[in-house]
Amino acid sequence: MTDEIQHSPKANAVVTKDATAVPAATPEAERKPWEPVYVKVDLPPVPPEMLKTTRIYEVFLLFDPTEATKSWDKLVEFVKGLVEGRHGGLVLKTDNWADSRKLAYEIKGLRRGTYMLMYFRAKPAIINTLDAELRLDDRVVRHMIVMHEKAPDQLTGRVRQRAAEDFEEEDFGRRRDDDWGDDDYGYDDD
Amino acid sequence: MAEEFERDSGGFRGRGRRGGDYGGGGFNGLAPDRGRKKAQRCRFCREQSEYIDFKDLQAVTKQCTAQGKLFSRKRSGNCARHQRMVNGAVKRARYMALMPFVG
Repeated sequence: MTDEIQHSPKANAVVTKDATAVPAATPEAERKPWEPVYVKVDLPPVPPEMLKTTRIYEVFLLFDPTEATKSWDKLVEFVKGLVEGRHGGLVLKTDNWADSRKLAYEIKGLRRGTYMLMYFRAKPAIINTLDAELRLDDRVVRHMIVMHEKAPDQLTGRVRQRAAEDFEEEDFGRRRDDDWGDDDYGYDDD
Repeated sequence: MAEEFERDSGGFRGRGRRGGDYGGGGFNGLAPDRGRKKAQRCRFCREQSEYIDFKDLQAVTKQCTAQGKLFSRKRSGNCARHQRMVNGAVKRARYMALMPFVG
């Protein structure tokens, strides 16, 4: 049984080449307003044997802000160590997504938190173990590992043109015949 | 001229045969399609989004009420595919404390 990733039929067309490859940009004059724009993103080179056996994942972690400011590098090293050291993955990008952001609700007495976002390539088989390891560590308050079949916008550098703003903001509101619906839809009703 | 079949209101009460604002789509038994071209009502379809990121709070918080409840598809205007993505994104955002469960 090969190590090769089996992709869903829809993704197949894209991922036979390097998923982070970016299509050639259309020149400024011809570009339509809804066509995406690509900015350059610096990524480490992917060894060719990894291209077919690994998937692109993203892990989003929540830390205590005081601890994060003290030892941010140690935390990054810890996660990197798990991905690259223990499991032979390749970290693509690491970000401090938010520094001491107010949380939507209190977690373990914590009202603010620091978020780390990391993109990496790894074999699918290791994800369960990685998840368990992140859960074990006391410093990681929450984590979420997300799979990407195609490279996400942050890696391709695609800047999405928000076509929605070109139209007037459609709020469908309460339909006149919505007699059986809830009463608390809408922003203005309170 | 006699009608071949009974038209019922199709759930749209008080709108008569014309269907009021809803004419032009050919809903169940109401006035037939008037040939009006319908603009895409799903904002994600217009953007041709393939993935709705739970971290993209600008887009995702708009899919909930002020109380943090998800909007129904009828209210949000999303297509089925994107509504499913929205639901997943909101639930992930709630878990990661980017959005509230209540409030």
